[in-house]
Amino acid sequence: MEYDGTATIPAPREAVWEPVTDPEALTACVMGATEIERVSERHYEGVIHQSVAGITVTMEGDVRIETLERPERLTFSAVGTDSRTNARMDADVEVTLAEEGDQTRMDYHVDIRFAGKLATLGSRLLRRQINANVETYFDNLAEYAGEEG
Amino acid sequence: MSEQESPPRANEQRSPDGARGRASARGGADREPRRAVGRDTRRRDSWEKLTGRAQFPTDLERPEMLHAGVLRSQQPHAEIASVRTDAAESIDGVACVVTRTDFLGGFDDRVRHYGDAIAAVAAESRAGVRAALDAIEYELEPLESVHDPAESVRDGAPVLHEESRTPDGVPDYGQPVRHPRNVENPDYEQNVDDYHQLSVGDLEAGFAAADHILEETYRTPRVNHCNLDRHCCLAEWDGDRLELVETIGNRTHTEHVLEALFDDRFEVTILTPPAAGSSFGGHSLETLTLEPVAATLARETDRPVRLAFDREAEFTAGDSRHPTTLTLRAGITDGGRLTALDVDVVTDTGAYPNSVGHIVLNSCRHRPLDLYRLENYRFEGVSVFTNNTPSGEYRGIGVTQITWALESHVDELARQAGLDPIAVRERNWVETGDERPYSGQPITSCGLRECLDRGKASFERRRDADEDGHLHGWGMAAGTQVSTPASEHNTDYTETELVANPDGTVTAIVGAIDLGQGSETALTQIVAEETGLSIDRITVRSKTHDDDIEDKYGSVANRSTYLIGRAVAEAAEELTDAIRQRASDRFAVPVDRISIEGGQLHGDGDTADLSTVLTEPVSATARAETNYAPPSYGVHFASVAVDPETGGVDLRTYVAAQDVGYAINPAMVEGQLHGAVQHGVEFATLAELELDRGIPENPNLADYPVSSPHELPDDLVVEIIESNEESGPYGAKGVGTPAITPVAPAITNAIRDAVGTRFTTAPVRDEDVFFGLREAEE
Repeated sequence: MEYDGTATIPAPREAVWEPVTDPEALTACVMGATEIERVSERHYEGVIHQSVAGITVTMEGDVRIETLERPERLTFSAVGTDSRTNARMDADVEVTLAEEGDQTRMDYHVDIRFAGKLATLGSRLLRRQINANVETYFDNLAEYAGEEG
Repeated sequence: MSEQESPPRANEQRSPDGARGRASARGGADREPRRAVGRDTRRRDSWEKLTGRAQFPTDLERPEMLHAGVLRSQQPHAEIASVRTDAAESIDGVACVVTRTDFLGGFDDRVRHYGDAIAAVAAESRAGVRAALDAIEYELEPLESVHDPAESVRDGAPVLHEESRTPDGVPDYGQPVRHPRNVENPDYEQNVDDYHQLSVGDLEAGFAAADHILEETYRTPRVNHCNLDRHCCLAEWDGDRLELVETIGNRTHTEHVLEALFDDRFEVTILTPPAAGSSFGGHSLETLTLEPVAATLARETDRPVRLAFDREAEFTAGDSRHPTTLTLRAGITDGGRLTALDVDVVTDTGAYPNSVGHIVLNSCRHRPLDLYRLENYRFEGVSVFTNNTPSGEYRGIGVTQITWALESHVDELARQAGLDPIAVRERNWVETGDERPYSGQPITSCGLRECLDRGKASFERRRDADEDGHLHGWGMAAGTQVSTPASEHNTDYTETELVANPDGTVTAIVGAIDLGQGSETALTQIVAEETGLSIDRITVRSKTHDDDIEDKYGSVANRSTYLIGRAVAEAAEELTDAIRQRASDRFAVPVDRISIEGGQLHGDGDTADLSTVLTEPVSATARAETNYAPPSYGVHFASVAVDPETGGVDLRTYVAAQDVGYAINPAMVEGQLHGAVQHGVEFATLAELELDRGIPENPNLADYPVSSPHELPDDLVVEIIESNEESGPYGAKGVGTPAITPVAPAITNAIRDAVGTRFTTAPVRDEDVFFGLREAEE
């Protein structure tokens, strides 16, 4: 499944870049995230709890940043696995940040694949859930960047 | 002859903008109308509906009534690991939260399709229901699911019901099983809902005698009724008596099914709401997540509870037409004689048995033999459990599917053999008096050839000229369906009571339920015809549990006019005799000199109002029984213009020539035919509930394509043929369901004629035609 989208954050680009890559901010902004830590500059690990249509999964996540062009562009690939339900998620993400006056415009492209239990859910359900998660993330980010900025 | 040259018939309606605009015309029946039947009487419910005053089930209220809602699974197959209701129960205004295993009727803790019920809520307001549903915490343990019926029957696929593993164990869920399920195919190892086969003559000898043989597999879509009048049930208890108010065509049967589901601990009464919008089979079947849930909530709270499906539930918990895969192999001689037909059917019944898979297979097995003389014929069919959304009754159960495949196949076989598709049909069609090989019963009225002659003449007169750079094509198809579910093994019966009241009015108590099809109007006309009373003095009402008359099936399977009409006519005749006898006694005039006209009694120059003769109610009852289901026939023609750049199919002229036996109300017959064309267009070119691993992609009216005037024919002509079915009232037989059967194949045969490609998966959408054209170019 591929998604493209745009979000506008009411904060300057530098102020937005920071929480996009900061473990503490990520933990605060990503729905269901706990224990996100930076293993190295380009490698994060963490745990995300999600409940999709009655299936509860606890994903152990591994994120590797491939492109880091501060403060304009970021690409990364993420893998999440849930040993209990055998669910697996693979995602490739590209985010660009552009200045729009005092605000920051973020364009994102997500290519996401599911295996195991989550894959038994149809694309409509997953799409709905992911849309909700992405929306929540940007809402949280706007709030976080606003407070920090 | 062009349209402009053709003088319009007296009863023809033309659009103001002439030949290119939408027109609708009718070729009426060639006979004098009688005093009340055979006339365009206005529908009895039209004014209430037109003015918005009609009360549909979702409009009903009761004092102290609670609203209800169902938490539905978004998983196609899962164990319910846990459900926590305390947070939902603590919300203000929430009266009750029950989980699936507490539903009356013995539900297990496993959901088997998207939309299956997990828990249910009753609350003072709809907002309270929504809040409570959101507050229920639950966990599902997903199970492997199966969505392809061909895969589901094989060993190794997930098993939906443990009982469905062995041929002898039949899962019941309190639902009736129509016959022992003997599976005589070793490849069908599990998940078998039902299995049918039939062999006539010598199939191999038939193929050996053929000069041309064609085999092809056809796939039909999962189509939803999309009734605007949603499923809605108002449940109320009086001790151990459950009263349900809801629109149900097959009411008596449903009462028995629910009583059996509740282990006969309770008495169930279904009352018909004041108005129904439409059914098309959508209101004919018990839907297990509706009635037992409403009944449970009402019992727990001891208050009336109203549960209505939302639109998504209509698609996912209500029924759609069985998606069916049909493989046909047929042989024909150079002279155009069909020598053999082999039909193999696999149909997807969804997760639970509801006895409709049986009807799909039965119809697919028999209808080819009601249409063609087939000396060598074999049928095998299996109805299969899957983790898909439920399948159930839909206008022309199984017949729509088999007729599309059969009429596509015969058309293609004729073309490939270099024969005229119409001539091949004519040569092989049945005719009046033919014996049906599966039952030994004769065909008592067959209007096929008159439908062909009248339909073809009308079609040729009106068809477009081939112009404007489009690819033009035309096609025809025939179809048949029977009236009543009766068979040589199954007697159908109904009783009617007519009461002449002291105020000079007559009430008819009947087994029919007006689901929007107009049965109340047609039956009123029959009473008026027989008694001589005017229409406005007659009321027809559905029998209730308290009326002492029997009726087997309610309003299903084209039986309302055909069978119930027969009982009504007979009872009306008796009532008339009784009234005339009273008048004779009263006026001392011989009974044979008494007549009734309007509301007046006439005898030897005296006239008196009916009310002056009746000092007390006079009643008459009659019973009609049959083990014979007469087939009705239709031959339809379609012309299309295909845009070679886009694949867009424009349905131009459509002629539906339909043998209805006798048209009791020609205007309503015409309405039935228009509706049939609309449904057929959806099946042929437009609609499908699409599932992705059992999860619906388009369960709403924005994404699910319902036909609009744009997709309907520019020019629609109805030709009513009357073949006089002697067993029906005035010669009438069924209209509604038979009329839909030829529509889809007539249209797709026209598309085949235009573009040269045979599409074997319906719906045939514009994009399919586009890619078909590109492929043909390459």
